[in-house]
Amino acid sequence: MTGNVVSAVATPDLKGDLSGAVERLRRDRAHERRKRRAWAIFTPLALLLGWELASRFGLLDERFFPSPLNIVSDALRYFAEPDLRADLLVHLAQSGTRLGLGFLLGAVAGLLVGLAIGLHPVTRYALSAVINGIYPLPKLTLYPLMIIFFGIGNTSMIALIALGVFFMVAINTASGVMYSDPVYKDVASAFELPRLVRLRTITVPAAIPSVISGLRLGFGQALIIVVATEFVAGDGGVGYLIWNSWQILDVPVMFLGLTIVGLTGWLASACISWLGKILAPWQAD
Amino acid sequence: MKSSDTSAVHIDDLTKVFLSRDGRGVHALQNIDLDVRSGEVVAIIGPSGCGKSSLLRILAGLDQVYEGRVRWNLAAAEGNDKSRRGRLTSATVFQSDSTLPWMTVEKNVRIGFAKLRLDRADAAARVADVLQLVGLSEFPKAYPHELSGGMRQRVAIARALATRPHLLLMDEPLAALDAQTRLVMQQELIDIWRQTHSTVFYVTHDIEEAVTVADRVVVLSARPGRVRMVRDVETTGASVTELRRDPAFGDLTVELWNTIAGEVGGSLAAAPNGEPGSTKVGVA
Repeated sequence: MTGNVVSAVATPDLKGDLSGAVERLRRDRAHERRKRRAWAIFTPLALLLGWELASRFGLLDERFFPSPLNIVSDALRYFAEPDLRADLLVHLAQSGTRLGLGFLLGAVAGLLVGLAIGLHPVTRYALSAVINGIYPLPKLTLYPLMIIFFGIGNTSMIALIALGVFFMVAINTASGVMYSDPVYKDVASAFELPRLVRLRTITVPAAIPSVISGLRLGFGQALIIVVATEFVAGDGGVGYLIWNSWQILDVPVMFLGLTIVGLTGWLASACISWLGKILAPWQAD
Repeated sequence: MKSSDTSAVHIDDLTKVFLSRDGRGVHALQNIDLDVRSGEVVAIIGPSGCGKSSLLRILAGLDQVYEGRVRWNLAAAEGNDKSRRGRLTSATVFQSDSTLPWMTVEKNVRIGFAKLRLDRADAAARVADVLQLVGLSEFPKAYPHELSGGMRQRVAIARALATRPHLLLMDEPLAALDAQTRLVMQQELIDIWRQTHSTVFYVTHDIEEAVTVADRVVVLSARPGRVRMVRDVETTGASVTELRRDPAFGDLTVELWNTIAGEVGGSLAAAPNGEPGSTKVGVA
């Protein structure tokens, strides 16, 4: 196994200037980014424009699909006129309270129970049948039951929201604890970490990405439940606003409600993503 | 490397059986008798599935269900009570990346101290020492995802060394690295052990690596793993690249390969679900 050296250079000389090539690559990347942004703005605008024209020229029934500009000007009344504004704020406060309290209660309970399930096998055996039995039920089907328990009003709505959030967070937390990379557990055992140190420095951080996705799914549930129960309960809130304005054919207000719900979902999702970046910066998404 | 005659750990008639997923008993290790002497580097090689990693997990305390005994001779350790308290019985470097991504390099090393109750100054000095030793002094505040695979494995090695273990356990620590980095790391490991007088239990499937780093090579048989051969390695102190020039290196590698090849051939023939069309290794 011998061979002759065919060619060898101590260190190949650096030939030429690469800055031109780098500049070109940078330009291509910037171009691609601009293209992505342009389309992200263009498509929704085009849809709105199509809608605007379609209702202006009578292709869409104006009673059900008022033009976007009409909706905006109508919606602006809710911000300009004090009476309407106060009304809107009351609805927002009602929904916000239900959503916030329900989400908070459900998330905290889900986190604790999820941790217990993940860490303690007997808890897991004891609860898994119950959780797997209730989890697949659409939570809305339990609303009547909640009313029986807590009466008509805020409490039963908050309880149902908390329940929906609880399952998402608990299941995701438990699986985060149980199915994170097994080498983390091996490290904890091999270096004989005391129980609390292990929980604080290994188990919980390893579960964070999964908890975050549980919170995200949970918030989605919470939003559905708050709107749907408000449809039914007739006791104010953004869901009530949507349903009521549809019934009295005040369609622009219905769209206002839809926009509020949509923005809330988008904002919460962004916040949860941000939380994930802060708590688990090693996770590339 | 100099090894004394005192035993660091004695494995006494150890047998390990585990349950497979479908409930069959699988015989992983049988009647293992092995003595690791204080200050020596023992490499364990054998065909895949021979139970080398099971043996390491038992020594690491990760698996506590087995027949037989593992006797640690902690009294043999030099030094007074205080320095003995500041040591773990064993510390492990794993094959896969075992750095904790939510901690800086420094914290990844410090996590190993959790049980040791070191005072502040001692802990800081140890961190500085081991990071120096593995060449990461400039990165104490870096996070693992900012480092290369080789650097992350250095962090894992630093963490294990910092606990001054009576036995340093290494489970194919270089297997996930590329060939060139592996060679560089072999040299570094040898240099580090020489400086720290470590007692090392080194599991690998790479015969050349075993011959390169070890004072003694133990060959396990195919499952159930038994001690098939124990072979002393003359350590010359040559560099890992120079070592490859030594005819004795080649001879020993071939001798060990021939011992293992019989086992590998046997285990392939016995494997019920070998891939169709895969070439059988010729039995020597």
